[in-house]
Amino acid sequence: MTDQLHVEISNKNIGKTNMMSQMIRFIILILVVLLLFAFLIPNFNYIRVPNLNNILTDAVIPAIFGFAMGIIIAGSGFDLSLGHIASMVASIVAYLMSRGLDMHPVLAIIIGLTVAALVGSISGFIVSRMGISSFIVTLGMQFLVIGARQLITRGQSVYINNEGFKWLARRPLGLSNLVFILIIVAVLCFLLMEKSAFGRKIHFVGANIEASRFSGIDVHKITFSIFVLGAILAAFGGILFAARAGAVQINSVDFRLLDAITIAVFSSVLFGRFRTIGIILVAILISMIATGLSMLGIQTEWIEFVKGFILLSSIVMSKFNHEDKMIKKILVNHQKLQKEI
Amino acid sequence: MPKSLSKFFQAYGMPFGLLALIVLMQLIFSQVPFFSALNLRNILLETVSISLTALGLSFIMMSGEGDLSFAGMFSLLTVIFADVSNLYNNFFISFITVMLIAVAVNLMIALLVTKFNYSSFIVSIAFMFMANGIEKALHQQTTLINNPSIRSFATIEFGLPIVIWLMILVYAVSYFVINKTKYGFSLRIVGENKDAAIEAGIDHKFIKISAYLIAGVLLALATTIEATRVGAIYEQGKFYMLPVFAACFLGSSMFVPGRINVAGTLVGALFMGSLEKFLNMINVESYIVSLTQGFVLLFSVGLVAFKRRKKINQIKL
Repeated sequence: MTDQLHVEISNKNIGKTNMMSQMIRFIILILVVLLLFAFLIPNFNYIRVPNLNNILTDAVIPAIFGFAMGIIIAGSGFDLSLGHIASMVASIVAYLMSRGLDMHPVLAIIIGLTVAALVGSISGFIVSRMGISSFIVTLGMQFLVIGARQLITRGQSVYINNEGFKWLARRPLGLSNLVFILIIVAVLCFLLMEKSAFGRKIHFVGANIEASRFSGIDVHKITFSIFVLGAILAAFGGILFAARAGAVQINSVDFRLLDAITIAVFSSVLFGRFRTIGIILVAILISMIATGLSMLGIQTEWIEFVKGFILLSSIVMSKFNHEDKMIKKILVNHQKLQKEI
Repeated sequence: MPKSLSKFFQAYGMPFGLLALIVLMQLIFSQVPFFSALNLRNILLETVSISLTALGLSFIMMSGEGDLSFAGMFSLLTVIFADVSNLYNNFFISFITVMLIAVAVNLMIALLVTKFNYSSFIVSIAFMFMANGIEKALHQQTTLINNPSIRSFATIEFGLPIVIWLMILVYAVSYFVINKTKYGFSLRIVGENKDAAIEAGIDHKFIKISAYLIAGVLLALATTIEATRVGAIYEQGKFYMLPVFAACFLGSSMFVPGRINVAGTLVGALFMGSLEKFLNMINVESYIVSLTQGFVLLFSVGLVAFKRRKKINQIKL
């Protein structure tokens, strides 16, 4: 019952104005972090333009992973295999463009994304038709992907010589091309998740599956498609990583799963649902913290701990969410009204 | 009596099937000495830590929650055990340290889950990543225990190695507790139907917290055994994540079909251990091991969930 009301309320204008205040508070948080590191790091190196540029570029790939996980979480699923799928696709694409095969980058990327869609559709099928929890399915899928990619690539790391492919991560316009790619992906995600009927259905299925079944939504299809979409987006993130790094190892993108979960959970907890701009801002915040910590001379390994801690505190923070309090107040008023009637 | 026969098959078909599978593999690859006494003893020794971790997870899953944190905590605790025992040269100090950390972390997860109603999977994933980060920051390679007298804990023998006796004892006690005591009954009710448990006057929060604490103690035991037996292997926990889950779900397809149970978990863990050992003995490449484990997990979960396949199992944050 509360779930239904939650959806109704957050879909109305109350959510919108509240969202703006939430966003403003979040931007203030980002500025605080910026100032903190600016004063902590000697010679103000943190706020020099090249460094800020780097922070922005670093945020691109995590943000795309965040979109992937965000879409899946919006439909009340979960995917533990995103990082492994992305690694597999990155090494497949690199392998297709390597010396023996010399495939055109566009063709290689299309083949890679098709493979990702295939893997995503397998887990989507099992989750939507077999009634198994997506945690368990994607945990099994993670190990299947580890096996499959070892089989395909024989565990070798591949260097990328294709200049056209590497152009994806160049910076001819001052900003890295990755940033423009992120903008394109973000606009597509915005249109899909926040402006189309399909995105609304995903949110609806995620919020209340019974109600959406009775209102005529094909819940199996929607659940199926979030896993396919998520896998494709994550694979695209992996491909961008390959273009940036210039060489792919068999497990080079696995650790991005942490980024994906942290960003998507943080954003969806903070804004109550899938928000494109929220995911980008959280990605930038985490990239700022990571860069700042490594500039302070803290071991890069601790950054994983810090990200895990951010994930945990974002979950804890959700209890003190302003919107929730507001909804509780409205619910109480609602019940009072009903009693009076 | 066809009905009771089919019930019998539901309950006991799976263990016989698994045994038949192993025997069949032995017949196909007859050059491998799988059913030798020494090999069976080795398999038992190697599955001790997996089966203890799986038992802990079973307790948590019986109370209706979930846990992924053991995947990170396992390798972190082995590293801590190895480091502390290299520092103080004392088995008990390192054992108590590991025990305290495991119990404290699980208590923290349990409090977050029960008092604030967060999804146990998300909370434990956060703890898993934090533990991974700390482990990476401490060491990035295998850490061995230098003191031979501490290492010998895993090799003390009374007929069988003492750790195997320990495992048998722990399983026997858990079986008794789950099936014969009031506490075990409340634990199962809380997992089956929380509302019914509340109506019956069972303190479901206390039950859940206690399940997490038991899991912490078992995890500490498992890591102690692992660290003394082979040392602290870097990122070992990630590779134990799937066998442990598969053991629990395989277990829920036998003896008491559809429910996690102690005896089933033991059989599942032993099967996962012998499968891996067998695949290693016939010298397949490493990818086949992970492929098979993934298939076993999906197959066993599919078997359990097949009856309610129409209903999509969602995860709320």
